[in-house]
Amino acid sequence: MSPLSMFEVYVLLAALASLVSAALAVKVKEDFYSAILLGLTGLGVAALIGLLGYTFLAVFHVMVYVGATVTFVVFGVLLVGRGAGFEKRMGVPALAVSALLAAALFSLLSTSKPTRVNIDLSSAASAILGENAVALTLLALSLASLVIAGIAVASEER
Amino acid sequence: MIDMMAEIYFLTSALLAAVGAYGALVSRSAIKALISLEILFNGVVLGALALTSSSASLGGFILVVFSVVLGSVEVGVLVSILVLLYRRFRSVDVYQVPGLEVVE
Repeated sequence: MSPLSMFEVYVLLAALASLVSAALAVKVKEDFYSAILLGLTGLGVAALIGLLGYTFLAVFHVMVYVGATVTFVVFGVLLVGRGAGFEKRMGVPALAVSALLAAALFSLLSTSKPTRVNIDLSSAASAILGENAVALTLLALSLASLVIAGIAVASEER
Repeated sequence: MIDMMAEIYFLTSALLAAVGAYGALVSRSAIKALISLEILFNGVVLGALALTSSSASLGGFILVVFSVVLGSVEVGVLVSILVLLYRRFRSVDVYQVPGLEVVE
């Protein structure tokens, strides 16, 4: 058996980091630490995306997902305080459902053979701004709804 | 890419989705359920990219760009709803919301 290359070691470390932080995010009692661990999961997933060859997408994931979304969750947790614990009666059914989901997803993904990609950014940009201009407009409108939601929270009378 | 690397990507994606689904099902806290669903989202995004990386088209790349942005919007709106929920009921425990109480 040949020793692992540095690339394989990076992939293994990123996978391990994202899985451990995801498991801790679900297991930990405090919602604040859970939100911070979600950020670490996002970073691990971004590293895996980058190692797959989607470097632009990895940076985008860190900036938009970890930088904006997770920060929003962290400050949301600061506003609402402590969590509410776990529903113990759901343990076994939830374990069964999640095991089935993992098996289904793994068997679906096993049909493909991932390869390292090399994205041409200019063609990606023209595809987003040209062919998918309508989707981009709808996305901008949905971002506007986020601003409206923020204003609704800020202006709620006590 | 050798097969072991492919399996690491598939396993990570499937396990992240499973961990997220488990957390969403067992959490009483609405915030924790949201965080768990975000973990599930991360797993599915990774799986989608691994699935489409063998194709020459940019479809998977564009889909993930749009879904990450849309995911951010969804989280923003949901956190706003949860803050409003907390202000109204002083709790984010889903079983304390009127109409969602546990019936013995």
